[in-house]
Amino acid sequence: MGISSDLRKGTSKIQTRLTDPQGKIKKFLYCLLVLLFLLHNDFWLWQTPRFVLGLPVGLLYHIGFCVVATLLMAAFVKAWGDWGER
Amino acid sequence: MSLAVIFVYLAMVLVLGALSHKLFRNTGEDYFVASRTINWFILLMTLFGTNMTAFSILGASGEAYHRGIGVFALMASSSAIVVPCVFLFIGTRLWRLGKRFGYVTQVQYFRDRWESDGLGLLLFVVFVLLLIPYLLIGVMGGGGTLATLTDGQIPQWLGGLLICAVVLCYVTYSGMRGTAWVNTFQTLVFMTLGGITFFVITDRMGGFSNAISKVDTGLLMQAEHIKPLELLTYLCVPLCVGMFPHIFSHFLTARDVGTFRYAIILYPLCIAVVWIPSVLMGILGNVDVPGLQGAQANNVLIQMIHIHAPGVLAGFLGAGVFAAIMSSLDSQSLAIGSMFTHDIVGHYRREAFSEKQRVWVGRLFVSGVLCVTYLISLIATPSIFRLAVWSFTGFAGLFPIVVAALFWQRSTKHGVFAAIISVILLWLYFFLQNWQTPGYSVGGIGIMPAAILIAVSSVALIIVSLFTKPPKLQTLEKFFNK
Repeated sequence: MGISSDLRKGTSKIQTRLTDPQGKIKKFLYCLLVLLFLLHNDFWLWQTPRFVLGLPVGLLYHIGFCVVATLLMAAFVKAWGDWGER
Repeated sequence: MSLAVIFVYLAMVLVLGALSHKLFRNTGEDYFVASRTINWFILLMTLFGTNMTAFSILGASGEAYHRGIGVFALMASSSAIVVPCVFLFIGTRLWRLGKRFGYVTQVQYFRDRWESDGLGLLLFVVFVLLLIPYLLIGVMGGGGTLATLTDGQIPQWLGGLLICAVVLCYVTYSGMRGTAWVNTFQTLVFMTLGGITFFVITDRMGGFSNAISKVDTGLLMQAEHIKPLELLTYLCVPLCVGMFPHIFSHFLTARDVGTFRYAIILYPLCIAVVWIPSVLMGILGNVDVPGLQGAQANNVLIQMIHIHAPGVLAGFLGAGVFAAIMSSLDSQSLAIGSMFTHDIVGHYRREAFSEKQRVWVGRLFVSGVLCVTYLISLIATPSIFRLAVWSFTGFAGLFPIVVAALFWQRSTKHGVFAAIISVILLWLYFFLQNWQTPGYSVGGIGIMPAAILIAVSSVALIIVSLFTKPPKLQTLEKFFNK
């Protein structure tokens, strides 16, 4: 009885998570976060000393990385739900 | 002139610290965590300012002098993604627990979470030992900078004494609120002055484009000075933020959980604002003062100011460096004072002190910490700077503990003991073998020791936890709302 009730609870929890749009957004954001960690390793620019917008391209890339990190964090904050807790 | 600027800056710091005292409620909670009333802007500035040390201004330039633009990727943009994640996934949860159970220190939480006094005591000792070198480099670095900026008019011992005395005044008088207010001012100072210094110097060098065109191309790409594995594993180093006692204290000061939002979002931009000028100035230093060897490069910024804009700008730089140093030193000394008060005196002699007496005990410990730090700084050799770098590695190695505390119900006190012991042993092994090797990496292939420490402590924590008795259901209900 106890086990089947736990199972039912677990199944409904999983169903809720799969259908919950907020949950899907969070999963998508987690994927983006992993991608951003991977993109930190910009090995394709490692041997390029050329300038873009007046800055070395490797440096400009990582400045852009900081901007993208800001945007991703803003998305996380928006998707995170209730921030009103005191 | 430069001395006048620095003294004006220090006077402003003292006035701000004194003003914040008007809101002081004379309770332990107010002294140590500002009654959990700090707003989003002050939280952002204090969290950021506390993480930025003199290294972010002088050390970053020195590193970039030798290693070029890769330093930004290695030390700045890695923090820009890791640290906000720590705030979001760890900081907000710690704030909730602190609010619900009235915690003021990490040790109180870990002690309760795994119901172990011994564990709390061991963590207390490890935290204090790892923080001491970090405190020392602030005092010694600040004194040394002032001595260099004033051509020895103010000796290092006097500069260090000045820093300790000012920090002592506002931290003991106004506690966490004073520290947070002053930190906000200091962070704004070093964010602004770094940019001003950059624009003035590059202008005197004939413009940025002209100056950078004279730099060796090897410094304008990462391949020659950074190893791929170094860049990858360096992402583990900023995890130390999750275990810093002073950052934990700042987490608890937030008015509500929403206060964290702007710190999470804006932290990467703040990092960029401080590190871009520092790294570029270091690279341009090769044009102005070529041939600096090793740690000599840490003075490259000061030497460039001497060449291009002595006087007021030197004073601004001195104020900026002082701001960066003091914004870390104050939080760290307050955190250690808080730990002595709550984790030792408060825990073992709780009934012996009233609320007001506890505030005074805290003040006494903060004063003691600063006095002892200053006295050690008089006899410590410059090699202490290398030890301080390793303190980050130690804190990062302990990071799996806070993750297990928050997310893994099955973790046990024995597992955490195993993790701490593995960190101590590995840290001692790496440190004793390699502390004199600048830029050491495991096997010389770029792997940072912090990555090994995190991996081994995680494995130790998991395996030992699985083979030992799970925590009581009552404890899990308390922390996980089961």
